[in-house]
This record gives sequence, C-alpha cells and structure tokens, in this order.
Amino acid sequence: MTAVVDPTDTTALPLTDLDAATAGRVLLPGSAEYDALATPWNVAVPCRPVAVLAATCAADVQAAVRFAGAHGLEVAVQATGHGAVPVPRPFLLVQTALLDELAIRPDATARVGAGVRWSRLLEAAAPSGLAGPAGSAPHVGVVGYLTGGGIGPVARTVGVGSDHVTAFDVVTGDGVLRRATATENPALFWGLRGGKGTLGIVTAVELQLQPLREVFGGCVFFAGEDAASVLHTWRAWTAGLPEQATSSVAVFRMPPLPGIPEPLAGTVTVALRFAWVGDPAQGEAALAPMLGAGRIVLGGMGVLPFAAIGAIHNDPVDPMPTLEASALLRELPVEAVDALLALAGPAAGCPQIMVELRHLGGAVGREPAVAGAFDQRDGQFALMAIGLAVPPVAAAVRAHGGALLDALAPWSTGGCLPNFAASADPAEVARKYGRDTLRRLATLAATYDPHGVLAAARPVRQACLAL
Amino acid sequence: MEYRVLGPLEVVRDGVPVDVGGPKQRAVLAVLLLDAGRVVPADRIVDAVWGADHPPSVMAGLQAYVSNLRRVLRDDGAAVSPIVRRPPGYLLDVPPGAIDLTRFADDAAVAHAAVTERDWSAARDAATRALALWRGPLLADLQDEPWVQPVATGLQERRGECTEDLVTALLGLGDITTGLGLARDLHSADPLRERACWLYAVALYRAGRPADALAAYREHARVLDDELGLEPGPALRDLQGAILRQDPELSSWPGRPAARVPGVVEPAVPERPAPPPEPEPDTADSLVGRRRELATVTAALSDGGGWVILTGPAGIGKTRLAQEAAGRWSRDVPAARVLRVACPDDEGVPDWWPVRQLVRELGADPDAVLSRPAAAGVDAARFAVYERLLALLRAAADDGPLLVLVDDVQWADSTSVRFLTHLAGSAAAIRLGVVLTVRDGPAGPDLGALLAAAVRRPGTRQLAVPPLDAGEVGELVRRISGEPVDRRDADVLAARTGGNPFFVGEYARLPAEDRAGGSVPVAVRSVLGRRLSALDPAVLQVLRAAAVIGEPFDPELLRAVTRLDTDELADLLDDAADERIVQVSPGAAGWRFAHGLLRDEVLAGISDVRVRRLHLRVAEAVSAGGGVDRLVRRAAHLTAALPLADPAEALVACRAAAVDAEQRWNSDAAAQWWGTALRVFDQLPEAGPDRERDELVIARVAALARAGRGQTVLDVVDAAVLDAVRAGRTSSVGRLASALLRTTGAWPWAVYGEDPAPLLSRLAGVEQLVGTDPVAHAQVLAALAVGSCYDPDGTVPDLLAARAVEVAERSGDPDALADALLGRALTFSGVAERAAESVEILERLAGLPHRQQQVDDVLRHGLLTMATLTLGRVEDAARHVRQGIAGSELLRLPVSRAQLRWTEGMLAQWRGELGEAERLYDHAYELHQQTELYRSGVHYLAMLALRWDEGRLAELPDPSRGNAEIAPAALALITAARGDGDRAAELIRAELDRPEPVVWTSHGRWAMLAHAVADLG
Repeated sequence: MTAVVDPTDTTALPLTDLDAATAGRVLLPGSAEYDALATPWNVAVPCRPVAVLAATCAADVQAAVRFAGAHGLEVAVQATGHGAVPVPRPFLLVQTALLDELAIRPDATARVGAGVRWSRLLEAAAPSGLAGPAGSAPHVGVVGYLTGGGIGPVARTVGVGSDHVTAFDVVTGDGVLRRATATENPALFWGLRGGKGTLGIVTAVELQLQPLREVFGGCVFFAGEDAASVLHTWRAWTAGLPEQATSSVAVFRMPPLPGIPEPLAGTVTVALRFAWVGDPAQGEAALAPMLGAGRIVLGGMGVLPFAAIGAIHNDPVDPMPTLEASALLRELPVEAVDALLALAGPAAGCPQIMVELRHLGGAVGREPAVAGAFDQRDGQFALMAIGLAVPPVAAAVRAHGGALLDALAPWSTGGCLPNFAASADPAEVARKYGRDTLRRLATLAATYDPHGVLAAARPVRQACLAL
Repeated sequence: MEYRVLGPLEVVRDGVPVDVGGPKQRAVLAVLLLDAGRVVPADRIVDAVWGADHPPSVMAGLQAYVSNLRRVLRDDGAAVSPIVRRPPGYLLDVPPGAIDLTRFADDAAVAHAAVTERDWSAARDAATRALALWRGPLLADLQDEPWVQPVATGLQERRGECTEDLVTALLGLGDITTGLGLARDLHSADPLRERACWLYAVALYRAGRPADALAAYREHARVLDDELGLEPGPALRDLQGAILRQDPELSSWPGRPAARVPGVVEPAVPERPAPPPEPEPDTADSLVGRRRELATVTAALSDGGGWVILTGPAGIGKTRLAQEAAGRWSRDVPAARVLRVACPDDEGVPDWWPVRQLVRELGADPDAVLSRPAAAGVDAARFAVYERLLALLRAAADDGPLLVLVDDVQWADSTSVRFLTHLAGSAAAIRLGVVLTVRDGPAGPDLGALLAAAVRRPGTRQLAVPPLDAGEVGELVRRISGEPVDRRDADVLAARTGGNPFFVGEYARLPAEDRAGGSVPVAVRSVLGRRLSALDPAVLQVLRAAAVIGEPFDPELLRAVTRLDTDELADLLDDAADERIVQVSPGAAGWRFAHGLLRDEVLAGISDVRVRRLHLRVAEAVSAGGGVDRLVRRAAHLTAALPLADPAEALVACRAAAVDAEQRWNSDAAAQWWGTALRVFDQLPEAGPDRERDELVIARVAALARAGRGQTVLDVVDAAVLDAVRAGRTSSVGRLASALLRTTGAWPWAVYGEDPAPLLSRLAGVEQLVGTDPVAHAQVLAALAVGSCYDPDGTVPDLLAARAVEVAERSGDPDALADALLGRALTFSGVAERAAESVEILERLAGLPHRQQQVDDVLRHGLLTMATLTLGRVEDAARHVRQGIAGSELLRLPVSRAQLRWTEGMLAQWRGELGEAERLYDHAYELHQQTELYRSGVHYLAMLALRWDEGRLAELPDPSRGNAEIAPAALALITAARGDGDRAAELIRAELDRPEPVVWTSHGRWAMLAHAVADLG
C-alpha cells in the first residue's frame, strides 16, 4: 500500500485493474462521457481527473479509494457537481450519481443514495405528508447538502439540515465502508454533519423527515430604485419575526438573456423571498409590512406544496461559471445595510449577478442533541454574492466580492457556511469551522485516511497546520 | 512643644509638626538643640551652617533665620520665644522633657543603673522607652554635616549600650525570644562590636542553641581576622569555653533579680571595645512627601503579617518608600527586624540570588540551605528546599517581628520568584511582613503568578507609587542642593521629570552653576547625561566596565577587565561613590550603581561594538577566575559578546551552564540556558547538523518538563514543530513528537498545560506531511493518538495508536517502535477495559532494546501500576510503584514521581491505612500543584474517597472553585450523606441531565452519583 507511481505520470496507472474491480465504468480523458461526468456545475472550476469512476455501489467507491491509496492518487467526489473545487494533485473522480436508492420508511425516516437530488426525495415524501430540510435549490444532491450543514428556505423553523441526519454509510479514506450513527462510529457521525467530504465518501444518508405538506411564501421582485427602502425595511422587519418565518433579500442584476423574465433582465431588482410554516393567514399578515417597501415588478406569494419549495429562490439549474463570496454576520445594524447598499445598491457599479442576505437565527442557532461539525450557529445573517467567472468580468467580480466582505467585516462573525463559496484554499476552509472543530476534523482525517487519499481533507489539514 | 532630633529634625506642637523652614534654618535650630540650655557662640553656628570659609555677610542671614525661628517656635499663649539672645551667641531655653535627646539620655541612664542593680523589669521598661524615641539616625536630614557626625557617633554608641542593657534585662526576665532577636540585630548592625557578639552568643545559648552560639563566635572571629587581623578578646574566648563546658552559670545569666537571689556570680563581661567609625549612611535625605503612602504601607504592615507590593516606573521612589516604611515599622515595633535583599538586573546572575542574600541575613549558610537534599526524593528536592527556607523564616519570625523587603522583584530569577510565590501561598502560619518593589513593565508568567498569589492573600496592599507634586519637587531640590527653587522652576521641573524623584534628585546634584546657568533640561535623560559627562573620563571608563559586568560588581573582576592596578581602581571607585553614582552593595560583597537608571545611562553611552568587546573581556576575566557562578557568568558574557565572540565557544559555554544548572537541579535555569544555546546555535557561521539542533530543543523541552512548565513545553514543541515543517526537517518533527510523549510521565500529554489544542492541531496538520518518513510518521501518530485520548469516540486514539505501531513496525526502527508502543500504552492509561492489553504492550516494550529504555522503564512501571491496579493485582501494583519510584529518583523524573505519589496514596487507602493515605494525598497534591499538570478536582476526589471509607463524608467542605468537573456530583453525594434527601435527588437529576464528554473524571462522577442514589435508598 505505498505510492509506487510517480504521481505526475499517470499514464502508467493500471486503470484497467480498477475497471476490472468495479461494477461501474471507468472513463478516461478524451471521451464525451468523461467530459460530461467530470464537468462540475460550476464550469469555471477546472476538473481533469486521471479517470472518472461512475460508481454503482458502495463497493465501487471502496475499490476506487483503495486504488487511489495504492497509487498515490487523491480522490474527489461528485454527484450533481455542486460545490466542486480544484484538486491540485492527480486524482480520481468518483461519480456517485448512479447511487440512487431512495426509500421512505414507515417511521418517517428516509434512506437516500448519494446520487439523489432533493427534488426526488421531496416528491417521494410528499404523498406521506412528509418533507426533508431541503435547500433553496432542490436540484442539489441530498448528501452533499447535508454534509455541509444545510440552510434552506425554512431554516429558521426546521433548523440546520444536518441536524436531521440519523445515519451515514461512508467509505472512509482507508477504503472501509463504515456506518456512522450517534452510537456507532460517533466521531465520524460528528464529522460528516458539517465536515463535507473531509472524512470520506458518503454513499447513503438516512434522515428524519418532518410532517410538512405546504408552506405559505414565494418571491416578489421590487424595482431596483427601491433597494434602500426594501433592505432597511427588511432589516427592521426581521427583528420581530417569529421562528415560523424565514426570509431573504437579494439585489439582482440579471443579464438580458433568453429565459430571463423581461422586468428583471438587464436591470437592477431586489427580490424578497419568504416562507412561513403554519397558518397561511398568519403568514400573510406577518408579510404585509414588507410588501409596501417598494414598487413590485414581478412575483407573488401564496400557498406552495413543500415539494415546490424551489420556487421561492428560483436558483439557476443549468451549470454556469460562478465566483462566490460569502460571510456570516452577527448583526445587521443600519450602518451594515448602508455599507452593503454602497457597494451593491442601484447606484453602485456592482458586477455581481446577485448579492443576497439570508435571515438566520431561530432553530439554526440551537445545538442539536448530538453535536456535529457544523458550528457556525452564531451568525444571524448570511451574506452571499455570486458573479460570473468569465473574462472580462471575473476579475471585477473577485475584487468586488473582497470589497463587500471588507465593508461588512465590522459585523462579521469571521466565519462562513460550509456549503457556500466552495474552496480548496486552506484560509477559506478555515473560515467555515471553529478551531476546535477544525482540529478534530484534521485528527479524524489522520485517523480514517492513512494515505491522505481524500482531496477534500487536504485543505482542512493545511488549515490546521497553519492555525 | 516637642523637639525631636533622634531622626529627622522635627518640632511638634500638640501633635502637629511645625514647619521650621529650609535646610539652613533647620541647621541653626539643630545646632542650638544639641546644646540646649547652653549658650552657643554665633561664630560656631555660622561655621556649622555656612562652613568655615563664609563671607562676613552671613551674619545677617543668621539673624534672619533666628528671627524666623523665633516666630514659628513661639507658643501661642506665651509671647516669649525659646531662643534667647545671649552674647556671644544664642541659647535655646526649653524644659529638658521637651527634647527627645534629653529624655533618651535620662531613660538610658535609668536603665543602665537598673541593670547594675539587677532590677530587670525597671531596666527593660526604661530601655524600651529610651529606644522607642529613635526614629532614625540623629538629625537624619542633616547627618552629613560635619558638626553632626561626632555627636551622632557618640549617641549611636549610647543607643547600642542601651540596647545591650535591654538585652540583658530581657534575658534576666527570661524573655529569651525577644532578647535573642534584639541581640542578633545588634550584632548584625555592628559585626565588629565584641559585646554585641558576646550577648548574641549568650542569648543563642540560652535559647537552647549552643551550636549556633559557637557558630556565631566562630563567624565573629573570622570577621575580626578578615577585617582587622585581630583575635577575639578574652571575654569572648572565655565565653566560648563556658559554652563548650556547658557552664551552668551561663544557663542562668544574667541571673535572677537581685532582690531575691543575691550573690549570683556573673561571668566576665567584656569591656566595651572602642566604637568603630559609623558606617557611611546610604541616604542623606529624609523622605519628601509620601505621607499618605507611608501611612498606607505602615498600616498594612502593622499587624506583622502583611504583604505590600509597591509598583511604579524606575526612579519613582519605590525602594525609598519601602525603606522608610520599613524603618518606621521597625522603630514602632519593639525588637523588630528588617531584612533587605535586592535583585540585580543581570542575565548572568545565578539562581536563588535574592533568596541567597536573605538566608545569609538570617544567619544561615545559603549553600547548605539551598542545596538539594541528598536523601529526599527527586521530585521533592525543590519542596525540601522550600521547607527549609520556610522553617528558617518561621524560626526568625518566632524570635521577633520580621519584615523582608525584596527590591526590584521584576529582575529576580525564576527560582526565587517561584519560592516567593510559594511563600505567598503558604505563609499564613508565619508572622512575616513582606514588601516587594516591582518596576512597571510587562510581567512574565512567573512574576504574574507571584503578584497574583500575593494579591490573593488577605490584607495585601498593592500601591502604585505616585509622582511628586510640584511643591514636593521643589522641596526635594532644596534639600539636596541646599538652595531654594522658585515655584515656576519647580512646576517646570515637575512637568519635565514627571514628578520622578530620582530625576529630580539627579538634577539637584548637578553642579550649582549648571543648575543656575542652564534652564531645567528638556529631557530627563539629559540630566543623567550631564551628570555623567561631568565625571573624570577615567572614572567613566571604570563605570562602563562595571555596567557591562552587571550588578553587584566585584572590584577584583573590575580590575581584571579595566587592567588598572588596585589602588588606582579604588580611587576611581571612590570618586564615583562621592558623586553618588555607585555605592557598596548592601548585604553582598561588591559594588552597585546607586540606581538602575544610572547603569542604563552608562550603558547607553557605549557603542554596541564596545559593549560587545567589554563583554568579551569580562568573559575572559571570568574564565580566569573561579567562583561558583563562573560558568553562568561566562556564558552570559560570551553570548552578549556575539558576534564578536566565537559562537562555537559561546555554544560550549551555554551548554556548560545548562548542564551545570541541571546538576544543581535548577531546571528553570537549565531550560533558559538550553534556549540561549539554541539561539547561539542558529548564529553559527556554518549551520550545524539538524540532529544537534534537535537535541538542544529536546534538552530544553526536557528541562521545561522537569521544571513543571507544561504550557511552555507545549508552546516550545509547537513552535519547533512548525520550524521543522517549514524547513522540511521531518525527522526533527518526529523527534519532537517523541520527546513530547515523555514529558508527562504515565499520563497523556494532553493533560499538560492550559491548552493542548494548538499543538494537537499542529500534529494533526503535519501528519500527512511526514508520511514519507516512516520513523517520524510513527512518532507523530503516537503523539497524536495520545493527544486525542479524550476524544469522545475511543476508536480515534485506538486507531491512531494502532497505526503508529503498524508504521513503526514497517520502518524496522526500534526507537520508533518504542515510541509507538509507549504511545499506545499511554492512550490506554486509566482505561479499564484495555488494562490487560496495556500490560501486553508494555511487556513488548520491556523486551525491546532502544535508546530511551531507561526512561521508558519508569514510565512503564507507572503505567503498569495503573493497569495492574485496575485488574485487581494489588501486589503487582505495589511492586511497580516501588520500581517506578526508584527509577524516577534515579533519572530525575519529577512528574512521574508526583504521579506515583498519588498511586502510593491509593495503595495505602486500599490497604486500609487511611491516615497514611491522607498524608500521601496531601503531599502528592502539593507536588502536583507545582507541575502544570491538569488538576481539576483530583485532590478533592481523593479526599472524598478517603472520607467515604472513613464514614465521614458529611464532614467534607462543599466542593469549591477548581473542582468544576466533579463539583456537582460531589455535592450530590455530600448532600445525601448529610441527610438532605430531596436536595440530593434534585442535584442528581440535574447532574444526570448535564451533557459532558467522557474524560478521566467521568467514571468518578458516575460512581459518586451511583453511591448517592444508593445512599438515598
């Protein structure tokens, strides 16, 4: 089990051995299927693995991890391609989209394969009147979302997604398939709930579902000139909201492209997203003060089946090249809103497609009964900016993202959410976890990954060394 | 109206001091007071006040002063002034009882007569009254005046005689303790005074200390011989004989009161030898201002056990205030004694420096007191020394009120600071006043701990010495220069000096024309510069060498460095002393600067190159000489001379100093020298081999671990690991991890220090980076496993340790395998279900020949003690404890020794020897506290187990601070034992609901809760 191959010379790798050992197919560079499977959702992230394994079962994943360990490769994983980061060393990509098992059990838990997206789970759970803690974009995979915590459109009511997980099946860096629950491999169970892919490749997750049929909510777009009024009103309004309400605001500059609604294309608008769990009439009453904050150009609110929760954010489904900047804010005083408006308001030369503030707190801030590696619970608001990572705007987007974080630094917790602004930069990874969490994650990486196979663990270990 | 001259001149009306004016006016009054009732010719007054070469015009000045004095001295009711003009001069006409000098003379005479008549009580009362009148040297504010000195010398002699009479009376009354204290003071104040020595020896003999009495005689004989080349007089020689014979008459000397037992034969009392000249007083000026501060300090000291911490910037007068307060205290308290020690600002000062002085002042031999006891256990060495010191102080304090003044604590070596910390924490039983002066500045961890411990004591006063106000500044200048300052100049001076009395004093000492011609200097520093530039260049040369040597400086060494001949050097030093730049060091051989700032100023005036060249020369001179601290000084000067000195030579010197410190059991100093050696190593012109550097780091880590400096160990290892990673030295990382494993005995290193987390992070982060070096990899994994032993998931340390063994086996390196096996056993330390496996691993370790085998044997026995105890093999456990103790003493492993003490206590408790167990626990706890090992409730837990066995659970105090983890469970158990069932049930429920990771106290907590539940039925 030692690295016998020059890691820069991958032509000598006996990839046929891997192919022979797995049920899934091994795809090599040069084929269209390789390109289709290797290309992440964020097409700006380079991803050129030495091969892609389209895993069909946990044993395939084990074989890939062992093969990597034996040949000095790293392993990265993709299902839907969200959250991809560059891997600086030769690596094998494990594609888990085909791990698509899905079962809704009588005890209101679900068992979900690594390839399953939220939309499929929500549709399957809906007939039983159940739902899971989905994110704003239901086309994102369940497993990747839950290993990073998961803050969705009803987060203030249901809490962090990973708090609902009851078990993982995971292939750790030593190639062993392990089950992790509160009592079995508790350290892994801790680390997989927030630690993303640091400790292994999750092949299936089990989670507790909620009796949630529908929500009251939706999205309205205000005219860009009312941005200041909308944001300040929202700031004051969120302070008095009960946990039943989760909302966010976003300043949009959508490009004039086919498929973008006319009132939004090529102009500045401000979206208000709102979701209320409970009596819709009460939700409507709670929302009322916000609707007068500006001129509405598009959208509306109403009762939605939970499976349609993606309609609240309407996140883009198709792959695109993006750059993200993200931070958590302790508080949002008037000055913070002004600072944000100065950089993203209608008068600012802002290159971002979207600058968003999500209201957190409520159930997000509560520790679960069994602790996990998601530890960013003190943020009251999440800031995120998304811009296009294509020249010539890419440089401006990057610079503006930095300026935005600097401007809001006085109110920042210093942290950010693990699922936002994916990065392989140790300094960025270090923002996603507290010191103690980072230390234990790195210790567990050393424990369960003797050969340093998992690409996702590398920045965590580096961040730990630099603490 | 009362007139006081026994101390600074004071006139008091109805208890309120009267302002009698400036120095000259005071001098006029003083001259008259010394000859009260007699006419003093005007010429004599003028000569005394203005000197012999005065201009004729001063007669008018005298008249002005006299008329001023008459004004202030007139009693309100009476129109008559006590100053009477009576040709050819003036006369002071006051009743004899109004002058303290007269009262002293009268009472002293009464006392002396009573002694002759053997009326001991009358003698004691009169002598006590007489001595209580003294507030300081005669006319302390004028004591430099030539007309004061002869009178002062005579009076000092009278005072000594009176004290002798008091000692005699006290011995006669059987109050040996007070008598002994006084006799010792008298003797140490004047070591050449034969009668004082005689009385001291008799008092010692009567206190049942014949050996000390003989020692006092021998010391006196030695001093006489050294200083004067004389032999002791016949009376003392007779006394020696009487002591040796245990002469019964001596046991009852000076006999019972005459009225009851007449005819007791008195042994020959020596004639009073001629008084030697008075020592040069070290302070010429009485204190200006500071009334409130003095009151605060004296109040804090008044009950005899108070601690006072005086803080402030350099030159603010902390020392002066401390001395004045101590002086007042000792005047107010009969038979009081003040010991003053100072800490020099010098890296090369050997450890224990101030304590060494203190021991010497207490009349004991520092080498004997501070040496490591041969028979004591290794771990106990420091505490045995502490115990000796405490006993010495206790005995001295029992003899009479005692005050210890420690000056410039910020410069004290860490060994001394730690002792003072110990004293602050444990001195409740000793009636001992302590005054510390501490210069403002960042306090290191040791000093911080001392101050914290001192402040925690009830009744400790901390006082920031404030600057002088403008009025006081003016007064100070006037007193020193003898000339008045106008208010405007005083304001400017106060602002520019920040009211700092040292700078004000230096300003006042500038030559008159400098002061008159120039304005007040803009920068206070330039005051010092001007003072120094006024010196003869030859004097300055000597001072420069002295400043580089450090304080106190030995004239012999100074001679070697300056290459002057002895006489020449003595003259130059005298010149410097005349200018008040240097003075003879109190309590120690050698000289010192009158103030640290003067030394700083001298140093600041030398170029870096010259400083280094001087250091090099000092190092050479030190090498040639002898002395206990030769190695230390040589290393310090060579290091300071870098890069002029040969780094290789400096490295050798630092190593020698470190090894020397280790041999003297001073781990703190050893760690410091290893650290210096590392810095020097990094300056070698050609980089030395990594292994050698690692060995220095590891030696430093070992010394720090031995000194009980857990957090520092972790910090140093952390920094060194990072260095090694940056430089790509994987084997160094491994060696550091290996050293770390062995710093905490049989306990996991994660229990060390306050925060092991950063180092743990570093190890976790570095693990993959050393993957290509299997030896280092195994070592890092072992350290990481042990550091993770409290992970809530026990699989984590288990897997890590197992991998360490696996990697080490593959490497084929026996040392790596030993590290891995030791690491695995340490992760199982205290884990009951792994005890049997632990025994197997340790057997394997025992059979593996490797470099660290000796140390590992001790650790192995420590681990086996716990494992076998868990397995119920008590006999085996007892055997391992014995073997572990033997090894820990042989190899000097104090941490292991402390841990084994706990186990000894457990075994004693197991055998049912509860008293012995309690003693061992108490001892273990004291040792434990001196390490930085994790402690959280460990002693309380042990006591709880004991009281449980004794059925005395209800007697336990409530678990207080420091027991956070076990407090709730312990409280539940005690509450149940006290019979408060409802409250106990409530506490148990709350504790069961409290989430807590499983750590070493968890099983104890659960056992306590289970017992509590059982108790409640």
